[in-house]
Amino acid sequence: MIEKEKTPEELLSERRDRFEKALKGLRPDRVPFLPLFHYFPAKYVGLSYAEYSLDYQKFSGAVLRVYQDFDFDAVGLALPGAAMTLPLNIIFTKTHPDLAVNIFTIARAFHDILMDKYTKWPGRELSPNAPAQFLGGRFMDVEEYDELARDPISFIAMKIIPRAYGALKEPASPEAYGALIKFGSESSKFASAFMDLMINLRKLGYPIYPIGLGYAPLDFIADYLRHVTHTLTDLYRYPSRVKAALDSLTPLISEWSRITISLPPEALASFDVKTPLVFIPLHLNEMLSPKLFKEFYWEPLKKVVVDLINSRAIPWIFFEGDYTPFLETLLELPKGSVVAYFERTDLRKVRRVLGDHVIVMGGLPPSLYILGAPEKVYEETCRLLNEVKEPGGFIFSGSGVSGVPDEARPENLRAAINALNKCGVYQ
Amino acid sequence: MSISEAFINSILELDERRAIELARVRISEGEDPLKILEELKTAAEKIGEKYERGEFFIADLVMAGEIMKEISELVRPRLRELGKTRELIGRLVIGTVEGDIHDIGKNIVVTMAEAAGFEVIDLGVDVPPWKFVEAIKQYKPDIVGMSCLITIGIESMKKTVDAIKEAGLRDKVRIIIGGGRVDEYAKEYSGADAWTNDAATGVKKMMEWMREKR
Repeated sequence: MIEKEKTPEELLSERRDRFEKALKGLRPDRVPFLPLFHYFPAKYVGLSYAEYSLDYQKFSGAVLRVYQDFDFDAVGLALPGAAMTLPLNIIFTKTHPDLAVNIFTIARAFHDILMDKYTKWPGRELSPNAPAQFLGGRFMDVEEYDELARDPISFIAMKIIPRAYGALKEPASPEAYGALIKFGSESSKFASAFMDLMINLRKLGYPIYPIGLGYAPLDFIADYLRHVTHTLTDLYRYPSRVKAALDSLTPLISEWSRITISLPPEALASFDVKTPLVFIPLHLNEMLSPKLFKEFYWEPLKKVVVDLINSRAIPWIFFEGDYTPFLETLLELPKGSVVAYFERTDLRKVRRVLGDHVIVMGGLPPSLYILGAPEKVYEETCRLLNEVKEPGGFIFSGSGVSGVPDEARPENLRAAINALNKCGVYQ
Repeated sequence: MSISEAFINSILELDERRAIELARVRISEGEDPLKILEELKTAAEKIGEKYERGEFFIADLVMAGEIMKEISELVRPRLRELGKTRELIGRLVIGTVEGDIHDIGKNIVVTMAEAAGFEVIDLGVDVPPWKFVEAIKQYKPDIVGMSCLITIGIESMKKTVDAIKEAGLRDKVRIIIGGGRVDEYAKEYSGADAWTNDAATGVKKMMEWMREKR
């Protein structure tokens, strides 16, 4: 490939330009590829999922190999597991903002230390080659909504954390103190490995950008407090309780989310793209009827999103499932202010409804990468790009939920990249 | 409006209090509990149709399922008192396939299929192929349902169908796969008979199969 002959510096500048233009809703030389990974790098280099989740050096090595062997345009998220620390992050919003930003504590060591009940991991509860999975659970009773609404931080700190993290079940115990100290030291090990990985990816010619995290307030209740199923029935049975809880959680989540992108100027200067992207993975979005969606889901989420936009960040919202019935809600946001990353929503329909109102991100169904032939992947990628890349502001993600599916055939990823180089070019 | 219509409507309107109240009144007035259960089947079918028309969403399915579950539980003791049993429309063995532990979608299918009159044997999550095979031998189901949310499940579904074939049981059961990331490719690859992204359409498909079988 021609790109390989360029120096990393040239590649970096070319890719940064491409990515930045797409983020601004413009037409770069061609559509950029921003990949996300879960376990594809492990499979690609032949590591077990358990090793990949546990050993930061092996994890980093695998991710680097993938970025070396394939051509992308920016460093996407590559995480060796499932998130589990959000309640811990959020309680520090007011007192220890520096601890609230510790967002990428996603590796098995943290699960082993905290003994959280939210996730299950390869080589621990699951077989060594099953992906880490987030299950959530019910850690709060209906009667406790009022307490949550009165003082979310105290309620989460005193009630939820002891219930959700086995190691912290007796907060004033040697086990709990020890777990927190270990958690702190492990976090700095992981952060330093993650930082090294970023530096090495940058050396390969991939632009880096500040990244933060956001959450839809109702998803926080569903994922971390009440469990999805109970949250859904709560909306019918106890709407005013849920509403009151959302009213007090929303400003807290918004504040926490803005902390994740508040960087000192000297730190900001070290990034290639200076605008922070705030990843907001949505969960319940497609599950609700339009009436429930608007009141309980969209309004609180919109508040978080608008606050981030006003803080000069770009919310990068992942719409799990099919968002078709609610696409119009995005017209309520300022034009060009968010990256809307779709999983199963038909991107052609997205363009018809939203035009260039949002930066559109998406790709092909995961089954195509896993089961399809490279010719078919090439053909489908070209078809998609020809139909949705105009009028600009399009980012290719590979596929839906985890970007490049864990089980994707490498030749299919290559075929998609070849198609991008041909059909992703703007004339 | 007859009491039956009012009852079915209250379920479709997700009016939990009224649906339960009506079921209580009907039981206390000595109405045949089998008739109430038969109406749950009608409700389940209508819920499937509403979902397909885009009038119902997953949250509505979960809530409707809760209401129907409560009503079945109300009716069951009365049924026992009368020495009656519900006529089942078919038997379903279901599970989340090996490597995947997600069960929200599968649980919605279980509740709705039970309301529709299926006997459901739920094998749980992370179910290896041999367990599906054993369950088919033991329970002789009409239908096998395999669920997964994450893509590791696609390969597990194929392995499970292969194991069912190897055990010589493939022509004894119809197989449906379901979950957020299954599609026609996954169906073809795994060798299942049908696929669905949602519980309502899945249950409707299974009810059609049982009608064909009669």
